[in-house]
Amino acid sequence: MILRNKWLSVGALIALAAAIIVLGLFDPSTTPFPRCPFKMLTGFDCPGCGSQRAIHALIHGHLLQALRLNAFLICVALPYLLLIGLCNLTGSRHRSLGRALYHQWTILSFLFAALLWTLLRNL
Amino acid sequence: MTIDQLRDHGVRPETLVWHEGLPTWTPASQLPELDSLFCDREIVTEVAVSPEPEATPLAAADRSPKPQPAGEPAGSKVPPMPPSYLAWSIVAMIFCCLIPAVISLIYSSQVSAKYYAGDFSGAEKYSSRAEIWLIVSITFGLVALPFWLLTVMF
Repeated sequence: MILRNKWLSVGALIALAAAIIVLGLFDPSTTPFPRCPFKMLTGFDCPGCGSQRAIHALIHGHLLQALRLNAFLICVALPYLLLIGLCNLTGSRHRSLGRALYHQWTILSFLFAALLWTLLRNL
Repeated sequence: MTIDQLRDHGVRPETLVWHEGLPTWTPASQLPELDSLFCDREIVTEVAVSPEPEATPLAAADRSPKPQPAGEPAGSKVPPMPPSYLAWSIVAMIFCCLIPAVISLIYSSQVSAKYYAGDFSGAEKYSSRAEIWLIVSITFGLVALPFWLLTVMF
């Protein structure tokens, strides 16, 4: 039950916000940013590969470039994460939107979409 | 039941509670008589020393002999939904590494499924499994970081 600590989630959120600010300030394609361990080990693109460059492009307003770098992140993962965050902030986890977001089939469909996307981008 | 007895049972703001006079099961945060349960520790200990009179008639769900409202299984206890670590598993899947985060995501999908089916201990079990695989995923990412530094330096 380590991760149930509220302050740990607050710290992780701060770290995430800091990472997004750093990604906005520096261009990951020219500065040495951490690389994907999956790509280092296997040579294949993981579902998140290109996310750092895509977020950098998005922050600078280049939506098309962001879509080209990681369409799954921009179209599916980011909206999903934003909705979950919104749902937790307003405390409506048990209302219809919260139930839909946390529903078994929503999560499994998301997972299936991510795996399909990984397959297609490596073809 | 007194306020501190409820606190020992792990009642949280989103826990559904019911007592005589309430039309339906209500989140504890919406009951003014339970406000002190969720305030800071100082107020709660004051209540523990001298229990508020309005807190005593409140019967917790599992102890109540009164007939239950329709739609809820009689005599059941409704604990808060255990965390499913959904958002963090997605973040781990995108930024960290694939396989442990995928396992974590599968387990977190089972948390809400079990919870809404009424299997609270099952939800609790899958919640801790999702947590374990999330920790594995993050650990893997942190272990991989030094190797990335090596590729930058050489």
